[in-house]
Amino acid sequence: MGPALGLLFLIAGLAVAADLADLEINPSYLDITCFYSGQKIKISGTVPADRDIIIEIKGPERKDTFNMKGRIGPFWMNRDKVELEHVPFLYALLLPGNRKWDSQLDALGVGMHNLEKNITIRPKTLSFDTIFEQFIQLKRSQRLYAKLDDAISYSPESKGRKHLTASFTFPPSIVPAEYKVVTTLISNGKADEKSVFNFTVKEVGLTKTIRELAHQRGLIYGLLSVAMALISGAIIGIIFIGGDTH
Amino acid sequence: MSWHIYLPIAHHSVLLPALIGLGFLVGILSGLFGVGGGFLMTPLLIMIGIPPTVAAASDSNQIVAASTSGTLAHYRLGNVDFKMGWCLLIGGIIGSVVGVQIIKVLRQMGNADFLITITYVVMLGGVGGYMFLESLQGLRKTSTEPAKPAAKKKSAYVRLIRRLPYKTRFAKSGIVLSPIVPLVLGGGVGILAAIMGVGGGFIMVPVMVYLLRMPMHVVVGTSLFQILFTCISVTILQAYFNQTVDVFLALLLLIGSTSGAQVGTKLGKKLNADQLKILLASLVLIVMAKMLISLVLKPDVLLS
Repeated sequence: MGPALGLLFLIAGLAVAADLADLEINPSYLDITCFYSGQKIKISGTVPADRDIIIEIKGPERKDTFNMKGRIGPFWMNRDKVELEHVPFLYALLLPGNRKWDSQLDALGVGMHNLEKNITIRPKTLSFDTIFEQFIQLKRSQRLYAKLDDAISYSPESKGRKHLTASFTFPPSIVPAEYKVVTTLISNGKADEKSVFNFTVKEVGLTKTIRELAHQRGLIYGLLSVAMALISGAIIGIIFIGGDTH
Repeated sequence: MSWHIYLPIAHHSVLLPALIGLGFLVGILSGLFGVGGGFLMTPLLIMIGIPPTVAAASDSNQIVAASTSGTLAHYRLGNVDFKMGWCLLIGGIIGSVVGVQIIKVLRQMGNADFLITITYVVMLGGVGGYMFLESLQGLRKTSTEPAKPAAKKKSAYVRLIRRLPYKTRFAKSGIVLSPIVPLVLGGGVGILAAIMGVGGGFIMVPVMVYLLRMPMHVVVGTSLFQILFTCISVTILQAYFNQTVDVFLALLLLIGSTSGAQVGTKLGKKLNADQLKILLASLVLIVMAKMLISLVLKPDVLLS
């Protein structure tokens, strides 16, 4: 049975929140089963008719180590180890299709370049800008970072409010964690209100059992893996030998 | 029904038929040439988005299955020299322990990756080039007329191994040799395999052919027997220390590779030794060329 429909309300400034926006994420959480291959989530709700909304989906923040290639003689080789702290594993920026947003993103405090503010890169001797650009490029190639223009659409306003719908597909390579759905309301070209929803991605069933066994009982897991391989190899070998005798 | 499967350790969803097909292809090479195929499989897995550490460790796990299947097939054909296999294996284990220490020192000195890659390219180029030329000459000779036995001057290597003590007969290989030779050569391959981070099948096979003078078909079976034990130890160590073995990934690959290994063994029976060697040499040279190109061309993304 699929995850139940969830209803999450903006937690920003309780007195005004209800006036600004109410949103719903469907499904409200994501289960990673053995057959997970990415999943679409739908975000819908209403905002005041005179406001725009930008949605960021991000998380979990972690410390990652990468190899940085450089030129050694005629060859491109791994030259430095680079450590990036406070980098979200996934980042998606969902924008409304009613106008071009590129020039405003920095001022609104959203977008990939806004992540620079929190990220620490070590060693400090390396160029921050170069590494950050390469990092974004790497994440984009892994389909883990994306800017989605026209991802949010509005319906005609009614009673001073407009209905919005947006969708985002969680990519096939995803880690179980608490993700954040951050909404920013825009009024007269300025960020008006930011709110944060938690969105849980969790492993279930066999996927969860395997990961827990691998991490908590490594030796048993290793021995079982070898036993499985030996038995499978032997069975296939015997099947083929049996086939040969006919 | 979904054709995708989520790999819990790699945290990546992959297409089932693609993985099984990949395993089948590499399994054919394994059965045909007696190589584990790690030097080919690991880069292919990385290309489809599997993290490198998980790709290498899970590949070791699936090679256990492919080499079990391949060893059984070759054992049935009388192609496994267990005595030689044990000598090479013991030497290989000692060599890999030494190799791991060498890598530690190289990493402390910096540029270890550079040295590893250059070793890889030189080894692949040297071994592949030599095998290719040698087997080409062999094929030309057999296509013209039987060669007259040449009165070759014995090399220093031959004179040396003939002087070594404790000579014993390796019946399956049809050679009489001191066990010191396979122990030392196995050790050398173990060192190189540890430095290069591969199982070493593609170095071990030429070593058995050219330095131990074993018949090609016995080489393939014996190499698989030795690879089996190497990969068992690698799988357990990786699972215990690094938690990088993805059993789902290994299972899917081995479904393909075990069948592929059997097909490879059957194909191998239809080819003569020189044809087998020239095919393996071509494969090794293609991998070397690909590595060389990736070293010279600027990568799209500098971080990895």
